[in-house]
Amino acid sequence: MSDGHDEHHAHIETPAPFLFCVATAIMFIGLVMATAGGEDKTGDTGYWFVFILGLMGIFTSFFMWVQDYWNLEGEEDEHIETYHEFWATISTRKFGMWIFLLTEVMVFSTLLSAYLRYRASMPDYSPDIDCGLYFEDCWVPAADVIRSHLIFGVINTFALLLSSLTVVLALYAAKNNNPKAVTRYLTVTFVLGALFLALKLWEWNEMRHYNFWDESHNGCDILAGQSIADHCIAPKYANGFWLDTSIEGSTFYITTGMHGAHVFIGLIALGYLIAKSNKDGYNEENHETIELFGLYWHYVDLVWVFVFPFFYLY
Amino acid sequence: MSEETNKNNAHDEHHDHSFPNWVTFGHTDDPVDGFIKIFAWLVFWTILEVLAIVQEFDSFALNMLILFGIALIKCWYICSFFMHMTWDPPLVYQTAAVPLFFLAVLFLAVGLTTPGAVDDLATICGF
Repeated sequence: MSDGHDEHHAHIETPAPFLFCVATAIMFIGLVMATAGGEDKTGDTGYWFVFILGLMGIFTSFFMWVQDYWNLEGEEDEHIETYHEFWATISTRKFGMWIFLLTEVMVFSTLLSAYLRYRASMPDYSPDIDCGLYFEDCWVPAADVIRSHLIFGVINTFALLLSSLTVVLALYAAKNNNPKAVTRYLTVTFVLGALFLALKLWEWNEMRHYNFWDESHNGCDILAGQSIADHCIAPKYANGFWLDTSIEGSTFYITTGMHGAHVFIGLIALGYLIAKSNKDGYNEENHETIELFGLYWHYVDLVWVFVFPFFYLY
Repeated sequence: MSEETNKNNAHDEHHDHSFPNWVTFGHTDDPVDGFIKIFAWLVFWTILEVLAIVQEFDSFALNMLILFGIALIKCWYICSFFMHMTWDPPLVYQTAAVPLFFLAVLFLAVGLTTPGAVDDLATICGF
């Protein structure tokens, strides 16, 4: 790359993303070893130090990263320099975001295929099948637990779909040089994402403490008739539906939890975008960051499009 | 950066964001109007999905068809329009197609190792 090129483009050569990844790895190693390590696999409390060290590294590198970009007035807008024009049709940042999203596709595909594999290994509940005293030999899906409160899952679906629209509207407001509208649409997106997480946390809490059945369902004589056709409580969920209740619970909470974590990370990015929008304002020349964030946010929406029917409807 | 590259990038930035007429119920020049109609389609499919499932059909195949079918349709709307794949250069959707191979391997493995489903590759191929 020529020196002349360097003079006209701002380059951010920050080590923060690399440090962030290393710190994240350290945090997870610490977390896993602290909760499930040691000779008896019940956790080695000494590793909480490693966990905290990783966490501190994450915060430090994150703020380094934000600080490096905070004072940048424009965008890098650097395009792929290649030996063939085919590879130069999109910017390096956009190409990088797509590669990142592809890795994310594999993450969620692994979770969904694991769910399908576990589910296929057990028969679904049916009055004709001997499911055992506690229904331990049958798959009683999370959808049966949630069914009485399905409306919250539906609201969450609409919230995410609407937030995808508002991100697109923010991008087009930037392209039309309307920075106030950009901030407004990004703020609405943030509120919708926060609503999604709040409802999700409330829903988890209700399921964990078996508050999902109303009075009419409490009287279901499930042990005698083995009938959950009216969505009575399956015996194995009589004390709530949580991570360690059953394989149904594990797959449900790990998958929806991973998705929720992505929404949370999106909210952090949105917080930065809103603050940056207030400070500098996005416009026709400077809007690629919103477009890249939009790709990530739409992907999160896309994952929910599959998680919702898999776990909430069937 | 070469002049040719700049031309390509300029093309990327100013591509025409037109929607198929059947998606927007007629021609529209306003992309915002088009995106709002895409959102309306997504809401429509979601409502249809929920209404279909609460009917509690007995057929496993029908349930799967509804769930996967509608999810794929919604996926197409989001990828094509919200993620701009319709208007982006071929590099984008060719890159996005890469994980499809790995997805096929993943779900094939699920099928091959599922008790009561298929026992081996020969069964899948119908030999």
